This record gives sequence, structure tokens and C-alpha cells, in this order.
Amino acid sequence: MIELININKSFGGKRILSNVSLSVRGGEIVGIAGPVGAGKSTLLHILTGLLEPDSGTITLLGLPLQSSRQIIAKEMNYASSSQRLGGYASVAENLTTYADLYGVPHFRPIITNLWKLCKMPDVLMSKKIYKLSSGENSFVNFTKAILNNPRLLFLDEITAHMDPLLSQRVLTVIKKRNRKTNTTIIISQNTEEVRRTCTRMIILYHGKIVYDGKPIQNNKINTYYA
Amino acid sequence: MTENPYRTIKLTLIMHNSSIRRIRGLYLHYLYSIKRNPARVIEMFVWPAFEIMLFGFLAASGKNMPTEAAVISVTILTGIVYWNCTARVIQEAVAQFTDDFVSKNIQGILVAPISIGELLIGITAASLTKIAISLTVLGGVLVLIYPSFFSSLGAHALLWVFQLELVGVAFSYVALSVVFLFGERVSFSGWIISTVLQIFSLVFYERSALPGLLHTVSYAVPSSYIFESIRAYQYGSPLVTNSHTIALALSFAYMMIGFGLVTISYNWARKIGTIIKS
Repeated sequence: MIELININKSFGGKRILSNVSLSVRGGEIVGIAGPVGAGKSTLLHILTGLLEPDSGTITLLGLPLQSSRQIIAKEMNYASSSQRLGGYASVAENLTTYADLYGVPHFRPIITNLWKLCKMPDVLMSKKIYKLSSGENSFVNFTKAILNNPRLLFLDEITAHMDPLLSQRVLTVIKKRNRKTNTTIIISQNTEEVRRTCTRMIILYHGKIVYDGKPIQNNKINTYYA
Repeated sequence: MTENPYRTIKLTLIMHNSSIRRIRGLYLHYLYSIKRNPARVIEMFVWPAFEIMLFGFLAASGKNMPTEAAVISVTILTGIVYWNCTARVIQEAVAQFTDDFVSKNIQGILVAPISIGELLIGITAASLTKIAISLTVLGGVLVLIYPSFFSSLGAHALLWVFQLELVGVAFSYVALSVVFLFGERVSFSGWIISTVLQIFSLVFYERSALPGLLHTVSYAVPSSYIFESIRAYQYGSPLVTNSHTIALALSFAYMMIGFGLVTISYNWARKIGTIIKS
């Protein structure tokens, strides 16, 4: 599903990612942990095509990202807690426009199902984006990210502003989705969350993968930061 | 193996359909950006309306002025009304695009399976729709203040509006390429580009008024031909078709250049990280 070979990225002479190689199979939920500035978001941005690496190759769904971005993008989606959709439009209007961008004609059942699972009130649909709380905004971004039922889902700190209950429900949805051979990559500072949700954990430190394996406890993670 | 032509046609139609759908999504997204947004409504309707009122009253009082002053006041009014067609397209395109950088929504949009061409068509269609509404309102204000303005120009008024909007679209692409490179920090690029363009567009004066190099540069600006033609027509000369053909050709050339610049700066932005740092 995801194949990265020797990815390097620098900004202004500072090396952010250093020879990162990674292979992710279908059905895996990969949690990326690491201290601030480790290169987690940079890696995710490279995977989504928002950022081009200085060197290295990226293959997603068996296709090279560089030359097949538009084809891959139909099967992929991304959400970040720091992102806001169109501020003066309502949640429903924003989701409708994104459904158009992904060519999803019948997106209402997907939303209804998700919102029911996460126990989110329908009134939120008519709320303007700029009036949403941080947690609600993150949830709307998550909704947007699964509109097209993507085979590749990239989430950047998506539960960061959610309350523990909502966060738990969202993670349950992610787990259920992945039984169907979808792949999810989650960035989270909450290592406990990564441990409970992910099937695999990657620790990035100074732009290098220092751990790649089964999710581990917080106290063990700290040993990799030294 | 021979390819089934019906299958090819069907696939092409599906591709076109999905492309139209994506453009519709972008169009709606940018159209919604002004909905219930008081700051943008004031920027688009209220300030231009006040400007039109101010110079409309000046032109309307022209009958009490010496002939030369009356001509100048009508020239200024004509210039302001028509310049809106170009400047507003550029400024609106940049404003709505910059909003996406501020909210980081640009990341969501660019991760979606859209092409740069679809993005530009969506932005252009939305800005043209907003400008059409804005111009209708401004036209209404003008008719109330200075009723003979449009009757003196006749049906050509629409041709000029169309051509000046086309100039606006072409230069909005140049402005958007700047936003791609520098992000929301250059939200003023629409104003800068439209103001610099105005100098060379001969909105209020003849080409001969521009000195040396500025004079030469003005020949490369499509709107200069349109404003010269508008003024000549207002002063009784017949419509110069040649000027409009040159303006049209130049506008299309700039549109192509603008499209190229946006593509280059988008690729460059993915290298330097403008999209993710927004």
C-alpha cells in the first residue's frame, strides 16, 4: 500500500527527514510518535503529496506518487486538527463541496452513519465553521477525511482537541474501517492512544526512524528519545 | 487487441463528468467564501458603490461645469466603472485563495484529486459570478445617479466589460502564482498587481501621457487598448475592432503565461513547503 525508499527532506539547510524508508501493508494502522520537530508532520505531508521530498521514491497503491498523484488522490484523504474548512460556510455546505471534489455522489449515508457512531448532534451540520469549537472542528475534518471511504487515510493529531469520549469513538471508527484492508497512518502525541489503536508504531527522532514495531508503553518510548 | 470505441467514449464522458463535478465543488467553495462574510461584502459592494456615487454625482453635475471639466468628470467616471471589471476580478481571486491559506483549508483542497486547471477554473468562475453580481449592483446605482451613462455607450458596454474581465482573469493567475509562492503573507498581491496594471491600462489618460519606457510597456498591456477604444467611442469615433482583437489576443497570451506561472509556483511551493507552512 505504501512504500517509501530513502526519503530526505531539508528546509533552509536543516535536515528534517533523513533516509526514511518504510513499507506499510493493507489493513495496518500505523501510529507515528516522536518529540516536537522529529519530522512526523513533514513525513505525512510528503505522503499526501503536499510536500515534495529532496530525494527518494514514494509508491502508494502500487503507483508512483510523483506521476500519478491525481489517480492516487481519489483513494486517499487527509485531515489535521489545525486545519479549518471554509469559515463562513456551514458544515453541510463544506462537506457537500468536498464530496464534489472527491466525486462522491451519495455521501449522506456515510456521514449519517459516522455521526451516529460518534453520537454527534445533527444541528452541528448547519453551524458555520468559524463557530465550531476546536473539538467539533477536528471531528468535521475527520468526517471530511472519510467522505470518499479512502484506502489510505492520513491523520495529523486529529483527536488533539476532542474530549476523551469523542476521541475514543473516532478511534473505534478508524479500527473498524481498517478491517477492510484500508490503511491508516496517525500522528499523535498521545502515545497511549497510539498504543491502544494502532497495529504498529513508528518512532521518529531527529528525522530518523528509531523504532518500528509493535506499539510500546510510554516509558519505553522515552528510551528512544535519548 | 483492438480498443472498443464505445468504452473509450464512455470513459471520456465519465472523466469529463467528474472533472465538471470537481470544478463545481471548487466553484461552490469559493462562492461560499463571501456568504455571510461582512468584511468581504463591504469590500465588494459597499466601497465600490460609494466610489461610483461620488464620481457619478460629479459627472451628473457636469452640465453646470465648463466643457473641459465636464469631459474630465465623465472620463473619470467611465474609468472607475470599467476599471472595476478588471481590478475586482484580480482582487477577489486573490482574497478567496488567500483565505484558504490562512485557514489551512488549502491543504485539504490540494490533497483532493483536482488538477491545477480545475482549481483555476473554479476560482475564476466564482470570482466572475461575484463580480457579475457586484457590477449589476453598481450599474443600478449608476443608472439612478447618471441615467445617460449606459445609453451613451450602447451594447458595446457589454463587450468592454467582457474584455476587461478577461484581462482581470489573466492577471489574477499571475497574482495567484505569487500567493502559491509566499502564502498568506502576500494577500496584498492582488492590490499591487491591479494598481501597477492600472498605470499602464490608460484608464484615465492617453497613451502619450506615459513617458519613455512606461509608454512602450503600455503596448503590452491588453486593457490599454480597451480603454483607448472606450474613450475614442465616447468622444464620437467609431469602434476600433483592431484594438479589441489585439486586446483579446494579449489577454489569452497572458492567461497562458499565468497558467504556466501557477503550475511552476505550485510545484515550487511543494518543494519549499509554502502550502504546509500556511
